[in-house]
Amino acid sequence: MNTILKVKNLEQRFELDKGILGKIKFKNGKFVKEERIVRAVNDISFSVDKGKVFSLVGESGCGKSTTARTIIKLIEPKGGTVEFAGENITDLTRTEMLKYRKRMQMIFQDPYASLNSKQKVLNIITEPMLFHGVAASKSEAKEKALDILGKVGIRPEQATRYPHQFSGGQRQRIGIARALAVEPEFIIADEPVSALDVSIQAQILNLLMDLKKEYNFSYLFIAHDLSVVKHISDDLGVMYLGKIVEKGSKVNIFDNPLHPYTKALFSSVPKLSGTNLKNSKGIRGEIPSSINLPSGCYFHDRCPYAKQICMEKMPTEREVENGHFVLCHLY
Amino acid sequence: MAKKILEVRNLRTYFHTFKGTVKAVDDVSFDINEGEILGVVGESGGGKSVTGFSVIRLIEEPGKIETGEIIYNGENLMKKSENQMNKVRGKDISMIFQDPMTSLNPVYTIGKQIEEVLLLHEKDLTKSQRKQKCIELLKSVGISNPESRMKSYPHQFSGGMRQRVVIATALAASPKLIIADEPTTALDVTIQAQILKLMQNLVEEHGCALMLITHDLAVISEIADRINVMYCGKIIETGNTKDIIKEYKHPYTEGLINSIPDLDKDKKKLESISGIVPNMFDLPEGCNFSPRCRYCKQICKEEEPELQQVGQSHYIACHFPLKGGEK
Repeated sequence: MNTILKVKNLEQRFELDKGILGKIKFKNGKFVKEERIVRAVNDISFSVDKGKVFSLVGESGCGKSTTARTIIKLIEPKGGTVEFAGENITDLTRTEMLKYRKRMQMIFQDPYASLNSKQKVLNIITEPMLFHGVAASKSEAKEKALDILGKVGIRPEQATRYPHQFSGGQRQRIGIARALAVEPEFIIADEPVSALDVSIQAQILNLLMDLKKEYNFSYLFIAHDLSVVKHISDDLGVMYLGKIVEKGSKVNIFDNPLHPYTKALFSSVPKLSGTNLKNSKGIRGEIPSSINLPSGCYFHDRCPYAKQICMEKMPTEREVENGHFVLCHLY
Repeated sequence: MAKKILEVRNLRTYFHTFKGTVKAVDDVSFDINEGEILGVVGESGGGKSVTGFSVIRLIEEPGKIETGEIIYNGENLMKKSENQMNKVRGKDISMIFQDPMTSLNPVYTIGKQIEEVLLLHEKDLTKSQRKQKCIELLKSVGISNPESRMKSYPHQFSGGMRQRVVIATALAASPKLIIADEPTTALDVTIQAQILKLMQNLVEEHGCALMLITHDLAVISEIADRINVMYCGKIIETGNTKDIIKEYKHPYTEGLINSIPDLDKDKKKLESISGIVPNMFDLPEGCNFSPRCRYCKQICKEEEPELQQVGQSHYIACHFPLKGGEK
């Protein structure tokens, strides 16, 4: 199988105390050196196959978006490697990254904040084309831009408008068109539908899937909504506090969820049939702060099956069935 | 027959702006019975929240409740003065807002904020009784160690915990009706499940009624007894939860339900509603939904449909009700 993206032991952390003075704290009458570090992404590995959709799912603060931004090197990785189409891009400089930027594009969550409000829609789409040399001249770029806008459902006469003249769903379409403009192979979509109403959400999801079929894209899809993830993905990883606790194919995970967190997540989803919440036990507590991570397994204090070993040792990843990995002492 | 706690009749709330008049709520009538959970669902701009705010008359300029009756427990709230209304708000009818990050005052401890409700509405309690009541309330919404948490400020709580505090505040004066405006929208799914269960239990224990406003049909079908579906300021379908989810008759309800990806069923492609919610300044002629409706006929563009009964307590506003709902 052809992999387009391979992420190995990726790490991302943010230091809250900058400089040597910030690290000195006054405690119990003494000055001590103390560092607070947010471990947002903690040693995760996964790969995305060509033409497939890999989703990362989890609650807020679990590091989904940071993972996406680290992969595309909007934030420099602090450890591990990222391989794109067989080449290691982890240590590339900004200029070296440029040719890869053309091949991987991002769709952002908030369509109200991700478009330049002072540019006309046409310019928003043609600028990356001219920059990356996808179109040789302005007139060629314009022609291509109108074509792409048509594909996402924006009419040619609307192209000279400004972003504020569009609704949220239309803006998200423009964001998608911008990502398509440079003819990428790989698209990272960071919660592209969570800011939209359900009827618009369905339109955008359909559009993303149609485009995938047409251009044979691969997607890394970030979402918190499990039903959306189930609808759109081929493979997925469930994240909790910067770790992928379970990953595998859609069928593996939805038909046979193994990790207690995945199970809890599934039982918390409201369903149209109206019986899920009544029958589920749910899950107690809340996500701990990622500054002071719990010892052992990060999930142990919310886990109904926690044993002694869970409090002491972080479990190692285990392949339970073909391609289905889980990070839990129970297996 | 359960007793009606709230009757809303022909409510119209309009916003008069320089650009024109927005009919945010346009001729809406509904009831809530004691001990019942009524869900109000629709997309943004449907007038759900304005309906909620209108019930306790929290509509500010340029908005105005034009006509209508809001009868709470036999009394018409529209006839009350602002002072009299303040005695109703928080005491008889209380509200839970969407964003737990902004609905608590950051400069007071949460104990103080709950106590304030008691100070206003339960005047015969002594100081120690009030403190005791606060502790009980916090305990009932699942906050552990309430004695010490009372002295904490809102920023020391997480989002889910803050929403619990907001619910405790809303419950403080034992209201008969709680209006919850998107209470779980800002929360994660596992926390949402906790809060929904909590609200369900509280309604059962206290016997109060709950009006739950949300955009999420799945949430509503989990906990509501009855559902009002709103579109462009009007109720377009109303009925028991089972009727609406399984045997919806309005094309808009059908569209809403079909556009949600379902965990239980694999759908090849989502059936979306084409187009977007119309501009509220410039509503279409006839049925508001006609430009997006796939069953639209000539009459839909000319004449506005009236609410008509299609089943026991199941009403819809459509010229051509769907047959049978789920295919």
